[in-house]
Amino acid sequence: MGNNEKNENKMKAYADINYLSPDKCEFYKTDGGLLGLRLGGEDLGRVALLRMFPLRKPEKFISVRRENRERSDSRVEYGVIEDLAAFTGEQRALIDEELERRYFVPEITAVTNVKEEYGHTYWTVETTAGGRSFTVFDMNSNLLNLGGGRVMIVDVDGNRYIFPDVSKIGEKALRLIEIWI
Amino acid sequence: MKLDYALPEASSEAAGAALGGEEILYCLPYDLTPDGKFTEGFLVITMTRLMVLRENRLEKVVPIASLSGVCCGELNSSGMLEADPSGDPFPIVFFTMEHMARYSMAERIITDLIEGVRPGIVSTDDEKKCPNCGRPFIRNTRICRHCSDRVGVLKRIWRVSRPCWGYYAVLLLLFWANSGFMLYSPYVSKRLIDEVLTQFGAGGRLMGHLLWLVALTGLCSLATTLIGAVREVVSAKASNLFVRDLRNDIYKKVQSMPLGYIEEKNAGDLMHRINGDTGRIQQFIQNVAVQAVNEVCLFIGVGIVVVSFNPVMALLIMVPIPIALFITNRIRTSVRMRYNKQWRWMDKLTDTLNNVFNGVKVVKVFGQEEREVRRFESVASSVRDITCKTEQYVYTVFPIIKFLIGFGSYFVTIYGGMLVLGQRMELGELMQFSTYAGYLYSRLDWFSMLPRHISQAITSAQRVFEVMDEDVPPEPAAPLTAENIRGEVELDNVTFGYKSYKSVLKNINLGVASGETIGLVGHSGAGKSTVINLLMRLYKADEGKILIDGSDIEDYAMDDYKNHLGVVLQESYLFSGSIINNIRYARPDASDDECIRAAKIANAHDFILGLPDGYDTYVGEKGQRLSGGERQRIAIARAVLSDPKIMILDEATASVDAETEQQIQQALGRITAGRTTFAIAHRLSTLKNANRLVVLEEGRIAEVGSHNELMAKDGIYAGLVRAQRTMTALSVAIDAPGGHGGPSGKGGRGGPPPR
Repeated sequence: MGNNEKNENKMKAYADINYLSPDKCEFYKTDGGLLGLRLGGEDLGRVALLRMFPLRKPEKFISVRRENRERSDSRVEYGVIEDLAAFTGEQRALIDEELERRYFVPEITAVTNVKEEYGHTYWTVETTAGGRSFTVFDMNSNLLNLGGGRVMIVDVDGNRYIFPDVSKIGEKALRLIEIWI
Repeated sequence: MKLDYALPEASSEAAGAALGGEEILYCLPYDLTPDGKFTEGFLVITMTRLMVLRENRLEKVVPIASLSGVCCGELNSSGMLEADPSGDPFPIVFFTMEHMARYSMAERIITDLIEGVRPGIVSTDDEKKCPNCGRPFIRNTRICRHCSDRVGVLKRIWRVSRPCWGYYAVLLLLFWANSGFMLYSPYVSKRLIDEVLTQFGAGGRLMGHLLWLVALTGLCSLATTLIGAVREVVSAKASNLFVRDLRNDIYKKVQSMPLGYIEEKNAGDLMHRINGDTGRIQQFIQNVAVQAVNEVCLFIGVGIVVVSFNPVMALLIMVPIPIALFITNRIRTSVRMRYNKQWRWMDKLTDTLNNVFNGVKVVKVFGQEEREVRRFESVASSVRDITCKTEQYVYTVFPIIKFLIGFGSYFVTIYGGMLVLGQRMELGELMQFSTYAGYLYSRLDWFSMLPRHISQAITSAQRVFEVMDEDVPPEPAAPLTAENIRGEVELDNVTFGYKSYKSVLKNINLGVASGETIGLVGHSGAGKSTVINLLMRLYKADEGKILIDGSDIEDYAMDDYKNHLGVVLQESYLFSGSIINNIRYARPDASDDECIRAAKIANAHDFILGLPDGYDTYVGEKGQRLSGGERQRIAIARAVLSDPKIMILDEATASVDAETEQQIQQALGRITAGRTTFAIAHRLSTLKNANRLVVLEEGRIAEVGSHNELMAKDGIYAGLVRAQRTMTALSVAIDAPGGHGGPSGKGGRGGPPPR
């Protein structure tokens, strides 16, 4: 094997993505109630799921990563779920539960009250996670237009919320944020 | 940061039995359920257990004895306190980002408990929200706009501006004189109309009277112009005097604050307070404050005149005012929003330019010029469209408002006209009245802007006063004067963290003899730089002491101590000015002769003479006209000049090439001889002359010894050296002719690590 060929193979190995399909892996709940993974018969213990495109493609390209501190494993990324749609039933439910826990971004379903005072906007809203009041400062850097009417807003503590359809949030609220969109 | 929340009564009852009479050490709120719903709950920490309460019910009890560790984990936009992170982990509580810092501290508290230590952790970190009303503080401050005493702030601006009081009095007199002429002038016009202009057929009989009244009108106008000019000069003088004092005070204060404070506030914020906020207060005093007193007087005065003149007509003027004010207010908000949007796009335009110019090399290399032109065009078009729209709106709407505000004058003219026609009022009187009405309207317009001016000034003043009110760390009451120190250093059980909940150094004990060179070694984040930050007295140890010649470092007068300290950092900062002035920065009284000697020791003399202007060379802002190695040697000369007993070298040769490094090493070798030296170097080869190497690992001293001793021990240091050898071998291989690194042979800088 020539030097060039060797190098090319090495490069390929580095760039390799191990896509996980439901028949290769099995997610389970650890005794502590967290997400574990059995991959090709090997029990890897606790794993973490990270979205590669959390804003644009939350359902695609999910990295499955080592979270078990006991394992002295050279692998950091066990594999990648290319599309969540491939997983169904109980397996999908386990994945969704873990993703929801890690990416806590409630969707705002209704704006109960909003007012502006000295550059701060005070929101009282209903969300998919329940009622909540929060404050946003400096809309310029804390509002992100995700396209298609979806808008993400970040409060003073760093919590994120999403308006699934910004045109439906009511005239007063819209007037307050429209110039930033 | 609050760590001892009071449990609500219902929760206390729920906790009662499980608590078993134990004392609650800490009580922290959390606000998420495991399945990601908002909730209200508390984590109660006692000596022997953790209790999780949710919505006034006891959820679970975790005995401390059953835990091997806890970890506060940051998820993507929430957090989780996790038990036994290394065994079979399970979550204890979930919380939003609001409580993140609190649970970082809980991690430390519970770790102490697991280790059997009663935690004494008290957080000194600030809350981000007003404890009174729950609204967030103004960023980087502890000011709540809602709860702060606004009148108190205005009073304080008044008190602080005491040197200008004389000017204020003069200004007020000038305003009043001006108002007097303003009120008098319509009266002259009235007489001109009634006594002369409407006396048809009077012929030359009234010529003298006409000339006199016209002259009087002219005089009034001249007087108001002159008074206006004098007033501008006086008010500019007063406000500049005030703001100069204020700027000096706040700058002095900032300089006297410890580094931790300055870093926390960040340079931009402090610059804004020193320049922007004081400027805004100046504008307020110059253009608003004194005038406000006058405007109020004038408004009341004109009001009385108008009402006593003719109450019905006065009422007619007032009718449209509330409506007009309401509309103006609404429209102002809308205009502000439009301008905001316009500014935001202008910023984007600037950003686009900035981005491209900074990255022009990348643009050129990838041949993306056209794409960048298109991108710029698209932003520029948006700016054009939005600006056009805004201007269109503003120039249509404001004239309409003006018309609306003045609408009352039409009623006045109709009613007044009827009176004049019925000969119940003179024409001149009607004109006089209309002029006064105009005064009233313009005052009202001015008043409607007042709340915003006051609010802006108060915010700026609060930001300025907040800095002024900071406590400066006290100098020791009877400072040790240290004319000659030997340079013995001892770290006695030193613990320190930049944030109170996260210790960076833990129980450091180290004795250093005078003249000894200590190399500090460890992975990044191990605490090496923190040790020298404490030695430089930029921060103060949280626990334990640093002793210099047997006395506490804090007992030395700061200036005295710094005179014995020489520092060369990785990136040496030169101030804009000449080379000689930069060398002299350490000791302003040093002679030219001494500076030249210092430069020679620092291997800087020869390169300086190679520059056309020699020692007078202007180094540019931040010394940018010199290379990194040249700046470094000037910094060394600066350090030598003060003949320090303790030298600190923090990665002094990290950012220079191999050849320059050799020259700098040579210089450093000269200046560290006989001086107690602490050196940090990424390249371990540069520490080969150290008497002892101290290896730090996660804030603790892991190994101490000479290079050979530590290599024989085969511990962390040996591992680091091996890793560097591999790196060096790799880069040598890449650089070797025929390798893939190109023929230049560059890149293998630093030489091999010690063997």
